[in-house]
Amino acid sequence: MTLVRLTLLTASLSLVAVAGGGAPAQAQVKLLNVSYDPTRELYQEVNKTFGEKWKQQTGQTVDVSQSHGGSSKQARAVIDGLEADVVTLALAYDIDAIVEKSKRIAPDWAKRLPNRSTPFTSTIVFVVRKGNPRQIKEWDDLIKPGTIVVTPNPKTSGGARWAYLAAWATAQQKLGSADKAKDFVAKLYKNVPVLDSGARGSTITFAQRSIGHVLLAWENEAQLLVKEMGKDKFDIVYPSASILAEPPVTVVDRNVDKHKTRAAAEAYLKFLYTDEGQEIGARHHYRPTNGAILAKNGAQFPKLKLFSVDEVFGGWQNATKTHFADGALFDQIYKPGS
Amino acid sequence: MSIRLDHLHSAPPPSRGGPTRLAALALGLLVTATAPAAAQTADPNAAAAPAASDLPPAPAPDAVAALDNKIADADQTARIAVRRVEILEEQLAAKAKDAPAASVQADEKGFRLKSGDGAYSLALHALIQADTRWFLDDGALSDRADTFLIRRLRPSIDGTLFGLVDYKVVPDFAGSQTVLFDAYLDAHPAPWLRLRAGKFKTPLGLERLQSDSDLVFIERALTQWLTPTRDVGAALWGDIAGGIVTYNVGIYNGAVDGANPDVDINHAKDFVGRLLIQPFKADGLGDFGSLGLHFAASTGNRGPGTPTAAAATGTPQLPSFRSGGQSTIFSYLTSTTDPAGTVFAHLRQTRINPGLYYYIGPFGLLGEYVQSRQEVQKGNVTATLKHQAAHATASFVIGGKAGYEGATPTNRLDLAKGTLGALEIGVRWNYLKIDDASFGNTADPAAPVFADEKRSVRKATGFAGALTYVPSRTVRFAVNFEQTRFTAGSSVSTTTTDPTTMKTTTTTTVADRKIENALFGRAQVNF
Repeated sequence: MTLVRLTLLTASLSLVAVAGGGAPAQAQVKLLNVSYDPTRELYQEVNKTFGEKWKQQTGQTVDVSQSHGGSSKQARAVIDGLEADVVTLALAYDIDAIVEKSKRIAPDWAKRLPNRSTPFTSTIVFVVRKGNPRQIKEWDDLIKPGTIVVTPNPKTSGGARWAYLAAWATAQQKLGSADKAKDFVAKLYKNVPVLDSGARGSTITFAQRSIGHVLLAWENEAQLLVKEMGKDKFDIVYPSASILAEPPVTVVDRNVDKHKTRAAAEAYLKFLYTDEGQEIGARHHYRPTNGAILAKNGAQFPKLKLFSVDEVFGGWQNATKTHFADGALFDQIYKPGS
Repeated sequence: MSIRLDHLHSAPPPSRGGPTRLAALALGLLVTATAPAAAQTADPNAAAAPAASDLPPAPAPDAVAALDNKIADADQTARIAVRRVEILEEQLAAKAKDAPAASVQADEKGFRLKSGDGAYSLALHALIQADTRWFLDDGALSDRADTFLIRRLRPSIDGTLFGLVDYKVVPDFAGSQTVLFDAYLDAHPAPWLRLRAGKFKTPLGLERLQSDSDLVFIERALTQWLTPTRDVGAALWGDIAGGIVTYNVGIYNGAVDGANPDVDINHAKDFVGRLLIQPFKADGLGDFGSLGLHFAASTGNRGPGTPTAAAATGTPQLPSFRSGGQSTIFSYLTSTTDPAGTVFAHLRQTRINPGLYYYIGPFGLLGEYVQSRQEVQKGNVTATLKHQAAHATASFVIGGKAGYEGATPTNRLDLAKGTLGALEIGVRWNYLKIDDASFGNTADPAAPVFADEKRSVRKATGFAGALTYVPSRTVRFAVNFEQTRFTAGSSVSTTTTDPTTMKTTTTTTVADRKIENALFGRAQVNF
């Protein structure tokens, strides 16, 4: 039995050695936030502030990585396996696509946080060159011959879809029919000579490459552009009506369960609804959903009539099927190079 | 806080490349064409500044504005042309980046060649198990030899064809023999519909279905002797509801318990089915671990089907059973001279096999029960024998997590990083119970006897412990100890001498086979 004793002794020593060296404490948690194009600066500040709070609360260091691109493209990446812990995308439809095609997110995701899981809203505005030489004030001005409009591709960009729907909704309300709205939007896109894949790309095309007379931009992107590039170069034009953009957020259930990061990921998104999170949003020109904080920052958010997607298009599923699916209205309207 | 508008596009302003030059040329031509008056006013002979009265009239402000507009339009046209080309280039670059390329990979999972789209692949793997067995206090039983051995030596290839059909070939060269273990195609048009054909494991035996490289113990539990090792046939199987339900129904040649046949020896076939429910695969239940509820069953005919001694010649088609230490502990009667003295399989064999596993974090539990009902015949006598076996195996992994696919270290051995891999501790209880009717009936001397209880055990019960060091998924070092107690299976002889006649009489009576204390060791490489 000596051999047995020797074996047990060896095993005991191994056990002690492995127990001591093989299981590092989880002092750090890593999150990946897969977001749409113009939210880089917003989440840089959110990550920093949330990280400090989480450290205070739990003692855990949270390291949030960011990934940005066209919203639909980002959704596709998550469907294809990009292991996002949270998605903060431009459209509810893109999150629904992840739910449907990968089942990585629970179908009731929109009900898990307030305002259909939308911590901030935004809208689509016009950015024109200083002095507004083309006198662009309303959506009608965008279809005038010779006006060059810059906006990204609705096939890949969430912001572009909001811009397209904003044009359609205002035209339909003014002209009275979907057919006339279609003609209007067709004329508008005839004035769009290039389609970048994302909102940030279009901003660069307009601002740095000096292409176009007007940029259709997220309100926050427009404000940031003017702030960064100088008020002497661009003006922001608020049309009388636009779209109520509701970019939603959610945890990616399967991934957080796999990574054991659910607690931190949920806290990260809830932080966006706190007063501090809402103030950060306002600083980055996203309209807070907290009424008090919106009112406090009202000066930077002019009032205009905002149509919701549900109200005009019957929800994102319907809007996508009718306008953005392959062969749908956008494909009929937009002829590259024409 | 600042916005960095240049981070998406490192491309400089439109002053590079062919398109830009073309655009600039177009712009130049356009400017030239729109300013003929200006060009024509240049007088090459004018050596001195003309008098003011000689100067051509200044263009009207409207003309200047028109010219500015034309230049601006031309400038926009040029910039748009350049940007369009750039976008096309970006799209092409993105497509090229996204376009999958064929790959060669070598890692813990083996060596792989894979086409860009993943539709074709070929992977090389190997499983090498160098074992040792030591029997402690064995009383010099001849079938308990302390030994070193190559337990498994299995190079294998697998892969995919057309993105639709997986294939696998696994021979075994251990023991200086070549035995084919797996050779099959598996077509998978959808996750819920797969067709596997060839030689492979039937879905009987929850532990049997675990890979040889992933077991908690060096040798499988006694339940293994009541299910076939492999069989040849075809099976439909698939995952439903994201793997919550896995079904498997198949038709096979029919294999004897514990056997690994390549050829069929009768016209009858076995039908085998299995249902595996994994409820915690449902969304949101991942934190509860991995639970598998398994139920499998089979039925099929053995033997020639005619209960006559004349027909009952040839292969008996009946198994023998072995202990944890791989000593033979049960076999049916055979006779080389008398066909009526040999026990043959007769008609139907039916197996049922419920079981479950549960893994959560470092903890694992796997248990199952197998019942094998076999009709047998000896001479003109037939009977149905019901053998049973069960086991429960618990494991705990320090520095890793337990799973049906084996222990996985959280961090592989890396001395530079101070990580050591994982240590798996396992305990097991298992038994094998032979139908009492196999041994006749002492109260009824006429009852048929199919096995000799002086050589074959009625029951074996084993307790085992395992300690496995897993520095990485590819390498394992294991030590096991198993004690197995037996009922019957041996005999003792008593010699008595009649004091009157001085005649000696030797009486042989049934005794329990000596307890088996087996110590196992294994070094394993698997990639």
